[in-house]
Amino acid sequence: MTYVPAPRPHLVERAVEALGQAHALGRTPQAAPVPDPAAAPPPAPPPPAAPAPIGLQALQQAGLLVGQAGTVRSRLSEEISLIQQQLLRSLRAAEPAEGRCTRAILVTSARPGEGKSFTSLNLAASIAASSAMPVLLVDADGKRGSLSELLGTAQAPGLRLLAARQAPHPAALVLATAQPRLSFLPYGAPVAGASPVPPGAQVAAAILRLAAMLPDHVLILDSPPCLATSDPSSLAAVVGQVLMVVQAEKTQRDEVEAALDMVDACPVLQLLLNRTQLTSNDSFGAYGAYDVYGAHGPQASG
Amino acid sequence: MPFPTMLRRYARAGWRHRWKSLALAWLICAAGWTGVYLMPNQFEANARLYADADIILGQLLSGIAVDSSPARQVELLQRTLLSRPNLERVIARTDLDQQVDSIAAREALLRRLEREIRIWGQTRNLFTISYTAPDPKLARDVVQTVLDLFIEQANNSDLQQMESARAFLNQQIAGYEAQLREAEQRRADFRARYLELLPEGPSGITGLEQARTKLQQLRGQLVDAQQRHALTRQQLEATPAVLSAAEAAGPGGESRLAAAERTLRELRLRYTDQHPDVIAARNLVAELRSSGDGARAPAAGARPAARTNPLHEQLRLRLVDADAAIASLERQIGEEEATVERLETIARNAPHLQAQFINLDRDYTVLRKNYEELLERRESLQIAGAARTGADRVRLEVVDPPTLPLVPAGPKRMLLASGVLLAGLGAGAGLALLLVKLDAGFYTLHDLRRLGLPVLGGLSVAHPMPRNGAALAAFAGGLGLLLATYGAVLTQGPQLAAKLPQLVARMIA
Repeated sequence: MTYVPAPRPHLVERAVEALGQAHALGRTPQAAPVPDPAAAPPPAPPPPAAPAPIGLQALQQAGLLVGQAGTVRSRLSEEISLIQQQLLRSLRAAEPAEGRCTRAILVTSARPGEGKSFTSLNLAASIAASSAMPVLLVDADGKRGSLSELLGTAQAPGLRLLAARQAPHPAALVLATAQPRLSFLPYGAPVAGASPVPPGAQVAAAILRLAAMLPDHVLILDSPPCLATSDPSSLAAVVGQVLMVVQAEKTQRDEVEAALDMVDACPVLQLLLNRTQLTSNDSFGAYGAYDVYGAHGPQASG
Repeated sequence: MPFPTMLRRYARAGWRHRWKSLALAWLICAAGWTGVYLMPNQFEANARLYADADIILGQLLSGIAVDSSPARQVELLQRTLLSRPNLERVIARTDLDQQVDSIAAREALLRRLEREIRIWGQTRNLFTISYTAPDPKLARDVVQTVLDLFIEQANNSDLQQMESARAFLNQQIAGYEAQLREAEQRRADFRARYLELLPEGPSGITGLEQARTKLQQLRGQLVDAQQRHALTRQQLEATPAVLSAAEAAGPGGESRLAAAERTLRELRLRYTDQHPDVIAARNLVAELRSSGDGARAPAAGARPAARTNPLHEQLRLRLVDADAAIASLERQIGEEEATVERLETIARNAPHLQAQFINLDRDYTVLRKNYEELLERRESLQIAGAARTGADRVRLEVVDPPTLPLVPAGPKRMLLASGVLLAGLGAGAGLALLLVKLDAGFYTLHDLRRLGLPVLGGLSVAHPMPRNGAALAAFAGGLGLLLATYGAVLTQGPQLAAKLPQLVARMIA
């Protein structure tokens, strides 16, 4: 890999910006605010025309916890990989159907702020790190604080352009990241001449086209909340499985049920309990030795 | 879900509502404690009374069927004692009448008194009268008044009853006496008037019957006398008036000779002829035989002067007697007939004499009996009265006179304050539980699995809160402050309650 000096200040700037955003959102970043030279992203060889890949720093600011060699093996990372494996299993078991991409996984929730973006990013990174399949993380939720914004790609062309059928090369819109085999499609800047919020059917069609163009990729769609927009409902018709993120202790049962009704166009509906504070004996991690386990080996090297 | 997990789930869910719960507990406790300490003090006055319930009730309730069970007696005593006039008197004698200004208030006060003056029996004869009031003096006064009333009433009723009984008896006795006199007089008059017609003594023979019997007897006697007279006359006619000499002597001469001869025969049977007696008898016989002529000679010689017959004379005498008897009897019969005639006339004029007299007699007997009974009763009443006045002191005695209570008997503030604390904590916990029950959030994967869809797993919270010790401490502080306030309320309650208005005023200012 060749050393590219140009993106370095750019990265730092973005990191500071992302850090500021993270603080504004009340999230305490796990990573040190000062970029560590050792942890500097391995600069991928970008094509001259393509923009620079999204740095690890930005990914970590956005909440990435898994996928790197130096990551501490924590309970959360174990839980993520457990879920990731199940997703892949059902992905492989899925029957192909007309007008539906079994490789696409819709991550949604009932209400905003339940952890869709966090879950999408980490699951995507986990799949990319652990399997041979490349992963495309699609931000289908363009609001403030979404993945596009977190990763500093709010102004880059993205899904909206794709939905408006104005992208000359859809594959060119996909941004590489510091994480191997993980790429990202931002929501994109508003497209002139088109509706600022593209209709759900157009987005769904764009996803199908994208999937057809990237036959090996697993598509993870970070969608808006079910009870806020109609997008998940139209997206659910074209994806292979839906992962409903439920925030523990907060989201009410009837909200979850209403959200599930929105996405029942997809045959595979799955649930995920996020931000659990309480572990019971019948759930994973009841015997909380992982922190201890993780504290020994990788901690020293990390 | 296993029980401990469920418990933890509920605790976790409830923890989210801790401040609401604590606020509710504070609210309830503050309001409750304020209320408890603003409640006025209650003072209880007691008096104990020894009373022979049987006697007292017997007097108070004479004429009412008295149940003899002690509980019933106490109830009756209470009801009698707390009758409306008595309660009116209690109100009049104590300061209670200053509290009422309307008829309705007075009515309410009466009802309250009736409910709140308690009388109960400790043992069979020991009664306790108790009353609770916010004012100690009032409590004492009420009990004292009730006690006084009780004693007064017991004594009064006794004396009054005795007096009235005596007066009644005296009046009755006087009335009976007059009646009895009258009846006696009537009876005596009647008896005097119809004495002969009224049965005499127990045999029950009247004078009329007596006279009739006597008349009958006399008539029988007269018939007897007349027959005797007739018989005598007949005999007299058959008897010659003069006797001949032979007829007169014959039987005499013969008899001497015959007697001598008989004697001689008898002697010969026993003795020989040589016996001197026999010789003497033979000589006599011979002499008589020889003098037989001599004896007849004098008789023959007196024949011309024939003697009168003695039998005839006797018969004549008897005839005279019989005549006299007949005359006497006839006179008696005449008298007796007159008597009978007179009595029968009287009897005919008063036909129901007998019945009338029996009536009179019966009236008299009844009156007399009643009169005697009344006299007896008066005597016994006098004796009973004497005995009762002697026994008065034993019958009714105040064992414990009511005293001015210094320490309030209620309300039980400690208990109430503790109850309020418990209620507050309970309400807080209940509120938390209610909110938890209403909260349909998902706390564990188990909760999520109930939706019926595959659950891939759970993600632990990425940045666990730093073991929210501060929140815990704050909550514990709030709870501890509540308990400390409870302690302060218990120990300093009255002072706090006294200062409360000032505090509130200062707060408002």
